[in-house]
Amino acid sequence: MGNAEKFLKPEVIRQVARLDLRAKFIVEGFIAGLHASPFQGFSVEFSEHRKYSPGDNIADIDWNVFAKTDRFYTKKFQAETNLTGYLVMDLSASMGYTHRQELTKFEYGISLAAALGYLMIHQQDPVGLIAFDQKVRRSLAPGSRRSQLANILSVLSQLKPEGVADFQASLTQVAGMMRHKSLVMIFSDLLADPEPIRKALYRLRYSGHDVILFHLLDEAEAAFPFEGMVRLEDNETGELIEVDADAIKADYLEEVESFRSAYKAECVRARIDYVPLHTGMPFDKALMSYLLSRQARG
Amino acid sequence: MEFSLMHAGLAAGAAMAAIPVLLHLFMRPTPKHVVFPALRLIRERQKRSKKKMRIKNWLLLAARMLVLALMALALARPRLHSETPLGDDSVPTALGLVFDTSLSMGYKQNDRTLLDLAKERALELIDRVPDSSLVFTADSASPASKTGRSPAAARQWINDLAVHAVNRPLNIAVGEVYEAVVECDRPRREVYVLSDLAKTSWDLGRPAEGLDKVAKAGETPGGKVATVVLRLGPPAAERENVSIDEMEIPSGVASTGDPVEVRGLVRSHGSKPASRVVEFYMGGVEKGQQPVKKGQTTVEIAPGGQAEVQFFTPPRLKEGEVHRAELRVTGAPDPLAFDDARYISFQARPPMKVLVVSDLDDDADFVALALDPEPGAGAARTYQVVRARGTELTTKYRDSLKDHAAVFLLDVAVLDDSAWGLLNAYVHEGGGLVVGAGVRCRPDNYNGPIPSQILPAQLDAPTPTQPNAATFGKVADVTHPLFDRYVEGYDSQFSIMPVYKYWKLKTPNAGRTLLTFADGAPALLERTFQGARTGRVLMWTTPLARRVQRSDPAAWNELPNLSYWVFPVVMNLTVPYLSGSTGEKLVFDAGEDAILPLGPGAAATDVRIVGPDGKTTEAATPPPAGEPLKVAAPQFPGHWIVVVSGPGDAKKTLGFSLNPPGAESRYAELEKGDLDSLFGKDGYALAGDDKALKKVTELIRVGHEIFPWIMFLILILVTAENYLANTFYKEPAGGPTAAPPTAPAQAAA
Repeated sequence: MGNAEKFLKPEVIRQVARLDLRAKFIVEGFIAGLHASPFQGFSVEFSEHRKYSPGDNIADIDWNVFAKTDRFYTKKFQAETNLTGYLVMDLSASMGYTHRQELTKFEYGISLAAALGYLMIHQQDPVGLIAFDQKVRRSLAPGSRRSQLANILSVLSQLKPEGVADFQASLTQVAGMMRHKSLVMIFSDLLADPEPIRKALYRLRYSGHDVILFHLLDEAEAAFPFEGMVRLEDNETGELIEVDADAIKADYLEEVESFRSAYKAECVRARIDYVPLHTGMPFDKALMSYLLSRQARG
Repeated sequence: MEFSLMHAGLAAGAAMAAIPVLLHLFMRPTPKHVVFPALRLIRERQKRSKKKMRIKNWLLLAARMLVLALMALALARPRLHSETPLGDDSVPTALGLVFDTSLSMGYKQNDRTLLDLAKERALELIDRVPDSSLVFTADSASPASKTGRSPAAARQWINDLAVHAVNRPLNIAVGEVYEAVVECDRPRREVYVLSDLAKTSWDLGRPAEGLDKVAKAGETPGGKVATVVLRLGPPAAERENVSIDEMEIPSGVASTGDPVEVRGLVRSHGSKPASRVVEFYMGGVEKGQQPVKKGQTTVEIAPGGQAEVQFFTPPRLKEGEVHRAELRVTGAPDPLAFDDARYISFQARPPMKVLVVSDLDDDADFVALALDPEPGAGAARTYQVVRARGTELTTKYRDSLKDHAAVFLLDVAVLDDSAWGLLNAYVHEGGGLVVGAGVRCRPDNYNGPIPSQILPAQLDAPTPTQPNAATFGKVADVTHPLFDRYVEGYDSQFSIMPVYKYWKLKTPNAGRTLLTFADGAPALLERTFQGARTGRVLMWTTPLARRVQRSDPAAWNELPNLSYWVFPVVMNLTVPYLSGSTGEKLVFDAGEDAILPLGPGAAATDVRIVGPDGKTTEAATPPPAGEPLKVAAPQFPGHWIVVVSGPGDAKKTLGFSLNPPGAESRYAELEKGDLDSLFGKDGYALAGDDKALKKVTELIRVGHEIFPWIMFLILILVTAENYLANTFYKEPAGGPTAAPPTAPAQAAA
């Protein structure tokens, strides 16, 4: 593993305090990783090489390739896009949870959002930011300048997950804020009543937006590592439940699986990209999801 | 099936099953407080799986409690099929011991009799019960005491046991012990029957006595009586024994003058051929007089076969004295000693005079020849037959008629009143008359007032000659001395013996029918006359003679035909029966009352009876004058001497012989079905040797221990508990952190 790629790991990236650096390291690690992948030779700055054929623009000939191969190849650059991206952050209190005292779901989410923002701005895609709980709390209009990244990072670093999220109201509000067809990237643990969330997601899709749903869970929520009798507290509602962790573990994991499966099924039906994540997972998976989605729209 | 515990106290440990509950209630750990936002997932799941979880938890709790309870139960050593409530050797016991002391228990195995083995086993059983136990003993020879003995006293009693020639069926002895054991208050009750299981020792027609009491006691808690039958000795197929089964004087009467023939039957009961020497001894009855060997012969006997031996007494035996003879088998060791000797006593007397009266010689020939054939060299003459005509009765035999043992009146046409009067007096004084009625008999003469006083019935008329001959019928009185020995043989012979004609009878004159024809009409009748001596008249309704030509009017039957053996046998039995000498037998089976005629004259004043050992002397009450002496149930086989004194200085020495029951020699073992019918199918345990006895005793006292099964069950339960726990709390396959890949990711891969 290269030095840059190690920053794809949450336990490594958490050592980096500054969010801008985190974003930079994640994206660089991700791009470094791509060179060892089937995407070799692929750059985010252009989409492909192909053999020159008469009629092609001579200006597009890649002379560097010609110098090395003695053959003409044209560079097909990504079309100048006007795809607008929105990073939508869930600010509910549950997002501030971490069992291992490492990255919270929220920290994981903003790291990921920052990295995506970094990536999009480097592709000259305008990107904006929306944070919500019961309603939209902070927002940044989309922009593609370098300064936009700084603004996004600044806002992200100031956000704090508190309160209870109202998805239906908030996402309806989000939909209303978007004037053009956009790519909406939602970062949430979805720990709320699923029906309003489902309706809100459909609302976004009906508005013509593409949606990537990054479903963030804490590693403990995904794995349930507890043993013996535990008293569990919902930090949003304050509700307490006493359970035999050993006895319910298998059932709980089944429930998590069922929880994710239900969302996945809904997303497939609504043509939404669903990306289940937990805070122990490397970031590249999320970035790859974005990239593929972006490419599909190229 | 019964269930009991050897260490019942330890079963209380089953209360440990409550430990998991108590632990659950009092040692619940303080739950760790954890913030967990995904609580809604747990809550949703709990709603659905609460019931399932509860069942799982109950299952686990039950499995854990059961494991603890079973461990406590295993420590208490439970057992099944146990007959008695307690298993420890220190439990006071009502111990019943029933010994078979029949002669077959004298069988020697490795120089020890089966009774010795029985004693040894019994002493071992007593050693295994505490001194506070009570031992109830019985043997087949004598009634048991209802009082229990201490183990020490029981040991002494057992050591004094010996085989006996006379025994009761063990059914009775078992019943006596059952009764005593059932009433005993000791907490454990066991009855052991120690026997070689010879069929002769049991009455197989009925179950052991006292089973009802045992069954009743078994209904109360702890009252069950365990029965163990210990079989002693080798099985029948492995036994070897040579016995003298019979010894007799074939002629029935020992006459003075000529040597008397004595015959014996030697039998081998084993599976190997036997070679033995049979010795013949004779002696007198005077006290201290030992039998002297008079001859011997060697016999070779095939396996399971028999050989006859023949000896002759010296000639000129003293008349009126009792002579004793004995056969002994020697020449090789024999495991069963009691049947190696056999004894007879007999009195020598002159041949009995028999008067045969007939009008024709042809009518007398057959009876005369049957009773007094041409004597061969050395053969004894039992009867001295004198022939006479009817008219000679009063002229020649008026005074000497009483000297005759019997008078045969064979197809005599008529007798005058004086002759009938003479015969009337003769039978009333104890004489014996045989009438053979044939073609010549005149009914008016035979039905006259004087003959009617002695004849069993009046003659009516002869039946018409039957073209197809009828036959004799069945013996009407199978217990009659004339027929009791060979009843089946008689019946088979009579059933084919032609009868062409016989006298129909009028009303009987107080006579009874002994034999009938096939059509049920009387063939032989008897009338008796009580007195100092019993007089008897036998009346055949068909003649005791035959004719060669069937057309002869006197040809009425084929009874005397040489083709049939019945005629000479019946004739030879008739004379002793009529003369009263049938009752003068001097040979008895052990246990049978010995009846000894003391003869006419004044009553004796003193009677002494000396046993076969020559030492044991018992005084007996002298019988009234004319009555025989009865020796009640003598037991020891051998020659007995009876010294009768009085009146005055008169002294007379008599004797008789006692033989063991021959059936004891022919060993036949009880089969399982026999034991089942004696004790009930599940009412006993059978042990074949000392090891089996220990095993059976252990089984009865301890039962089938189910400890290993419980431990096996515990093992299964522990495994099941582990499996359940692991199933309920198992880690999900593939690890908990795995998240399902997204469709885009799959595509990227």
